Amino acid sequence: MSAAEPPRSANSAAAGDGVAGEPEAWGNHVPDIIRCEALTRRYGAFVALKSVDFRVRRGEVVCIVGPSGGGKSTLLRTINGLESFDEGSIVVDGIRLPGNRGDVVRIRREVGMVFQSFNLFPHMTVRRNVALAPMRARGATRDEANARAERLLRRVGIADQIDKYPEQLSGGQQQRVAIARALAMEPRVMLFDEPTSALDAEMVSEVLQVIRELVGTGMTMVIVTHELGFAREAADRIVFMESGTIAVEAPPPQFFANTSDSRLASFLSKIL
Amino acid sequence: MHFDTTVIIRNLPDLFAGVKLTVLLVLVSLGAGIVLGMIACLGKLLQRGLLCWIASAYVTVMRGIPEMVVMFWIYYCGPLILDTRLSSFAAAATSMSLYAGAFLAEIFRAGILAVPRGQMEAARALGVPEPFVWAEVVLPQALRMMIPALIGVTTLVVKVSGLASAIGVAELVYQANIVSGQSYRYFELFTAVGIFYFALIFPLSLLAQRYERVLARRMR
Amino acid sequence: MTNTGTTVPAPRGLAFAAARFRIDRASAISFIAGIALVYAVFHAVDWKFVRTLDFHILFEYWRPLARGAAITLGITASSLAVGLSVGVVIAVLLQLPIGPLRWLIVAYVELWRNTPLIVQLFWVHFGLPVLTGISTTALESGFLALTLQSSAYLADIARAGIQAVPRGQWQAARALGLPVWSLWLEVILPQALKIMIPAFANLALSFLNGSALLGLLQVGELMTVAAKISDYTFKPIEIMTAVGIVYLLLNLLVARLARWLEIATRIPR
Repeated sequence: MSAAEPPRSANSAAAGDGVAGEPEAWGNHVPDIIRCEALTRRYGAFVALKSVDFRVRRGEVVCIVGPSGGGKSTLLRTINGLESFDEGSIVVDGIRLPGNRGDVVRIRREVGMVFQSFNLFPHMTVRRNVALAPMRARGATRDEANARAERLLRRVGIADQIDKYPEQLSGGQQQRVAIARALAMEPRVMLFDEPTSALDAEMVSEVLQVIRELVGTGMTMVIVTHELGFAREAADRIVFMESGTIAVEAPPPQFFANTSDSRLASFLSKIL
Repeated sequence: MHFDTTVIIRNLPDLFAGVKLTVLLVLVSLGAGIVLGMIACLGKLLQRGLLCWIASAYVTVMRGIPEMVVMFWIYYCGPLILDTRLSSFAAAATSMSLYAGAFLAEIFRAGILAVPRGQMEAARALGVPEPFVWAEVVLPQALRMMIPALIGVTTLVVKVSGLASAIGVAELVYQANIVSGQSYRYFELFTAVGIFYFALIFPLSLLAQRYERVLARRMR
Repeated sequence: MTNTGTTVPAPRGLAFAAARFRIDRASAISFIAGIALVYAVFHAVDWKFVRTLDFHILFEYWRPLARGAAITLGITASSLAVGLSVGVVIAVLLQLPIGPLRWLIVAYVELWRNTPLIVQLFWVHFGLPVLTGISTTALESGFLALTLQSSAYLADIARAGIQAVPRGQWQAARALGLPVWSLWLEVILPQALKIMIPAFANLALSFLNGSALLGLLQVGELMTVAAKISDYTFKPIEIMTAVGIVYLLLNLLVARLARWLEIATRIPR
C-alpha cells in the first residue's frame, strides 16, 4: 500500500465538466498519480521494458515519443493492466500492481484509454458505445448514462452522429467517439496510444484539437504519439523511449534543444 | 414410361410420418450438438489441460471418420459397451449429435477468435466486468460471424439424417425405401423425396450465401 | 527490489482464453472438467465386456480390409478426377453469356449440392434404371452418384477459383492477342487450379468419408467389407473400431497429400 494517499477530491482532474488544475502551484508537493518503478517486461529473450522508472504528477501532460518497438505502447499498456510485467511495480492513484483482480478493475475505472485503432464496438450505436461502460462498470442507470453520453459527444463535436453506427463514421469521428467513450467513465488519467497514427492526414487535426481541449481542463494525460508538433505545444514533459528504456525526459524547450543524447538527436533529425 | 404421381399421393401419410421423424432427429441432434460443441470449443480455447486434449481428439476423430461408421459403431457397440438398451433413434441421435458437435465446436471457436482482440481490450480498459465483456461485446459479434457456418451445419445434419435409415430409424429415406419396395415406383418416389429435401436445404443455403455477402461487405 | 511473477491474475468466471491472462485458472478448469468427463465415461462403460473384445481377428482379416480401403481410395479418387474435369468444363461454360445455358448449369449444380447423397444414391441405382431402362451395377451406380455430386461441388469451386484469378491476367492475355484456348488452358486455368487446391482438398476429405455410403449398396469398398465381416464373425465392435481407425489414417493420408500438393505448386521466391 502506498504511504501518502492524496485526497481524491483535491485538484483531481476528473472528466465531465473538468476543473482546471494547476500542477505548477503545488510544485514538489503534488503527489504522483502514476509511479512505475524498475518496470521490466520480457517476451522470451526480448526485453521490451528494461527496469523503467516513470512518474506522472496529477494534472500533468506527458508525451512519450520514440522509434517503433521502443516500448512506448508496452509501458502505456502496463499502466492499466492490459500488459503484465515481470519485475517492478506500478502504483496508480494509490492502487498497487502487481495486485489481485479487483485492483486491476479499480485501476481501469480510473484510467481511460484511447487506442490507435479506435476499437469501437461495431454492433452498437455511438450512443451505446459511450453509455455501456458507465452502466456496466459504475452502475449508472440507462438515463444517466445516456445523458452523460450526449453531453460528452457534444463536447467532442459529434452529437449529431449519436444514433449512427461506427462504420458510418469517418476515422476522425470514430476516434472522437472513442475519446468520449473513455471520458464517460470519468477517469482521473487518460492514456492515448498513438491516437492519430491510423488517421488520414486531414482528420489528424480534428482529433488533436479534442485532445488539446482536454489538456486545457487539467486532465492528467499520457500520450504516446508521433506528432512532435503537438507534443511541443501541449506537453508539460516529453519522454523519449528507445530500446525499452527512457533515454531522455524534459520539458519541450529543453527536449527539442537537446544536443547531448545521440539517439534522440538522430531520432529528431529523421522526423523533423 | 410415364410419371405416376398417384403413387406419391397415395403414400403421403407414410412419407409424412418419415418427415416428422427426420425433423425430430435433426432438431435433437442440433440441440445436443450445440451443447457438445460449446464444451469442446471451451476446451480448445483453453489451449491447455485435460479438457483441451479430449476436445481436440474428439473434434479430429469426428471430422475424420464417416458419419456412417460412427452411427454403426454406436448402434452395434453402444448397447454392449454401455450395458443398456439403445433404440435405433437414440443411436442415430447420439451419433449425429457427436458428429454435429465436432463441427459446431470448430465453428464456435472460429467465430470467437474472429472477433478482433482490440474489442476485448477496449471493453476491459473501460473497466467493464468480464462477464459483460463476453455477453455484450464478444459473443454478439462472434455470433453474427458464425451464422453462415451454422446454417451450413444445419444443412449437413439434414443430409446426414438419411443415413439413419440404415440402422432402422423410420425417417423419410427409410419410408421411401419401404414404399418404393411395395410399389416398385422407385423413380417417382425418390424424385419426390429428393425434391422435398431440396426444398428444405436450398433456401437455407441461399440464406447462408446472402449473409456471407453481407458479412464480407461489413469486413471492408 | 524484485517482484517476480505476472501481475494480473486470470479472469474470473468463464476463462475463455483470448487474452494473455490465462495461467492457472484455465488449466484448473480444463483439468477439472476433463476429469469429470473421464469419470462419467469410465463409470458408464462396462469394462468387463471391453475386456472380452478380441482384436486378434483384425490380423486374420486384414487382407479384405486392406482391399476395401484400396477400393475406397480408388472410387473416391476416380470420381473426384472425373468430377473435376466435368466441374471445370461447367465452370468455363458458365462464363459464356448464354442465358438459358447458365440457368441450366446453376440448376444442375444446386440440385446436386442441396440433396443428400443417400437419396441421390438410391435414385441413381433404383430410380434411374426405370427411366433409362439401363440397369447399373452397384459399383456403377455408386460411382455415378459420387461423380455427379462431386462435379456439382467442383463446378462451384472452379467458378470461385476462376473468379479469383486477378483481372489483370485476362487483360494481359487479351492485350497479347492470345487465342481463346491458350488464354484458358495456359493462363487462366493453371492459376485457378492452384487457387482451388485447399477447397479441393476439403472436398476430397468429405467425399472420402462420403464414400462409406456406398456400403449400403454392397459396392465392395471398406464399409461393405466391414459390414460383411461383422456379420460373419459377430464381432462388430472390433471391426468398426478398426474401420474407424483406417478411415482416420486415410484422412490423414489425403490431408498430407493435399499439403504436399500445395507446397509443390508453390513458386520459389
